[in-house]
Amino acid sequence: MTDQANHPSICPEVISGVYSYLDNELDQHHRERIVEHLDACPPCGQQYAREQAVRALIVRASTCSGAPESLRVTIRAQITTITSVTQIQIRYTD
Amino acid sequence: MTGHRVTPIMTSPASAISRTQFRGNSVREIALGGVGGGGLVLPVMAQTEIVTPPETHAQRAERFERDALPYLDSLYGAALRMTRNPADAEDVTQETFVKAFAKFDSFTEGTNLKAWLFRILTNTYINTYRRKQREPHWTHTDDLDDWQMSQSQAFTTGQLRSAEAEALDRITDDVVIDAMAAIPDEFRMAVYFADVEGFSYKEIAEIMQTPVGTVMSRLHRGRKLLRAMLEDYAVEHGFAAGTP
Repeated sequence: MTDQANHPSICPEVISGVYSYLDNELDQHHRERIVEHLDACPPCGQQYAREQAVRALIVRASTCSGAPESLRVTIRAQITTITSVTQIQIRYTD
Repeated sequence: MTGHRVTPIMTSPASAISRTQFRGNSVREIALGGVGGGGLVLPVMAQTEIVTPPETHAQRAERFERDALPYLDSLYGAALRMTRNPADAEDVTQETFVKAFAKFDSFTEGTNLKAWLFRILTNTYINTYRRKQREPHWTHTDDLDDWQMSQSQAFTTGQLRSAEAEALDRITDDVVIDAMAAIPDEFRMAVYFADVEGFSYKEIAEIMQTPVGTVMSRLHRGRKLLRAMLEDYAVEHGFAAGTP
């Protein structure tokens, strides 16, 4: 794979594989082939690093501290209300 | 509460006759039926069938709270990225759970509950919330030719070296959130589902009700836009080493 060391740009045929690799959508065989290529081809390796960096930013920025407790309470109350209303309606129609 | 009930199946000819005749209001015939059948054929009650009782409303509510409610934080987080403000995110999440509960009996237990909930969330956002917004966020640019074309160009525009890619780390969350808000909805949602929630292409296809190829196209294009915006920002703000 050292023949690609001076490759001037990334390899178009590898691109979708890089995405699938990042998305964990490749089987073992294809995963290994991509890893080999990324190690041997600096432009593709750098591109992979950029993709990974952007992804890490998105994950970091999207980390949510969780839903407000009041929302949880409201939803539970609604479920209880719907349940009891339905039961009353059934009793009336029986 | 109906509870667990064992339904006896009446197999005795006597009782079958009795029931028919009772409808005819004939006391005498009931008696005759009883006598006629009772002589040799005793009512056979041994043959019973255990019928799985239908789930009561209270039981369904309990199952919903146990299985679906734990996804509240995930769904709210996604709603926050979709609507871009906490009040709307709460409304969309709440509506999602009410809808999900209403159709929870149609959900097949053992299948992917999280994806099912995210699908309801996505529909709720698209059909209810975004319609109210009346903003032209929705773009219909999913054709694959465009994607195939962009594949050949995807990796040729960036000029950052890998050390400079690390400079992206210095970008604050607010800037990343603004960049995400700036790309089309379908792209943002696909990227969020894949990167943050870790859904597979197949699951995202189910959630967004589109073919897997479209999911890949949305992911690819969304990421490309985000990367371009964030790298530009890094260069502009001098985060990237060696840039003016």
